[in-house]
Amino acid sequence: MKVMITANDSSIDSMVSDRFARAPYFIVYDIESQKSEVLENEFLKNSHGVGPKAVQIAVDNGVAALISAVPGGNSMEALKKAEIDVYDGRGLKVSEAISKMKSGELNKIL
Amino acid sequence: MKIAVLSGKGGTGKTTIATNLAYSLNLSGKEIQLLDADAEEPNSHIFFDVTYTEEEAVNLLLPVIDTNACTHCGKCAKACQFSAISVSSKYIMLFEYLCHGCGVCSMVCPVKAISEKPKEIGKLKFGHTYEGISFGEGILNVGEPTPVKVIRQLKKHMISDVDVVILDSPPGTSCPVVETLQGIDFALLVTEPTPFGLHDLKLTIDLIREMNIKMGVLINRYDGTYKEVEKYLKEENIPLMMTVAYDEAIARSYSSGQLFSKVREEYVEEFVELFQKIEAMVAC
Repeated sequence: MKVMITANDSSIDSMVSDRFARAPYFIVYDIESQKSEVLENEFLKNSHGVGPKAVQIAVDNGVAALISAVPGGNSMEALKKAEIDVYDGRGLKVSEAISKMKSGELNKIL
Repeated sequence: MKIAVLSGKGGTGKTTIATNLAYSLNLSGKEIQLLDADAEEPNSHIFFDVTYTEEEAVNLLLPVIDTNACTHCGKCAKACQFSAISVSSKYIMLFEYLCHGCGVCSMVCPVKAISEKPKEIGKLKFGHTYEGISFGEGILNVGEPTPVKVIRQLKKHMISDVDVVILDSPPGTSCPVVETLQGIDFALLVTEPTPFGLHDLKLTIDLIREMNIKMGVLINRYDGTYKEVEKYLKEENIPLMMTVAYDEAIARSYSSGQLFSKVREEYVEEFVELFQKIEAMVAC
């Protein structure tokens, strides 16, 4: 299963971003293989519609869950349809958030 | 001649100047069309007694997706500049409020699963004032995200054989203002002599320079105490076309919805002279 984490920086030790679609980096982490792929957010500076774009990235990468801040209305609609679970990972490092999600300690938003 | 009256800052007197300019030039025998492009709050009409004769809907063409025909290839979502469509193997969804109605999704769909339906986002109203000025305004429906299409359609109604078309622009420096300025001969910038007016004036000047349109500045509510606007204009070599005094009689006429050129008649001549300066600048 793949998880996408919105992050402030490109490493797994960086903090989970306080923003969803305007996070500087998206980290796609494969729980089975423990491999991660870092994607730079190329839509960061777009003025509109970044939420659906970020969801599209999650969909295209085949993720089953998202660890982030609380996404906006448009994003939530798309995430619901895409059947992607959403967890609140604010205040945690990316690596901490992943292990807390695995042990069921993260707050599930969707 | 097409003149846009604009300002960065709201409340500097765009509408006051656009309407008084239209009134004064009309009085001097010119044939005038006044178009209120401030579609989110069109209020030029308040200064006039307008008889409306025509109305026209402004529609956005929204995609309609045939989910049975859709193969979820995702070409539409990739083509959409505004992220208004999201596609996965499980779903396709449209975000209506992000859609700008450009139609690219229906063009790129390989299986013709996307058609278009009109959605009314606003309207245009046309008529004439008691003085005989041809008048038009764009009105955006409340809750719609952008007036650009309303302004574009309004500008298609510019009359080519009048002497002057005056456009009352929306405030700011974003898309609605850019749309108003496209194809205009002269930008008349209205500012007030305050640090706030100057700050936003600079932004507008940057925009107009980028669009390569001839411009001049009018300082409204001018009392000669704050000199920074004039200093800046001199440094930047931008002409100060006219000033309108900080005057209680003008404020009173405005607050009762009257054109100040009717109370301070000397301004009629000043506006005519302003227009002559504009004509000279556009000609060279």
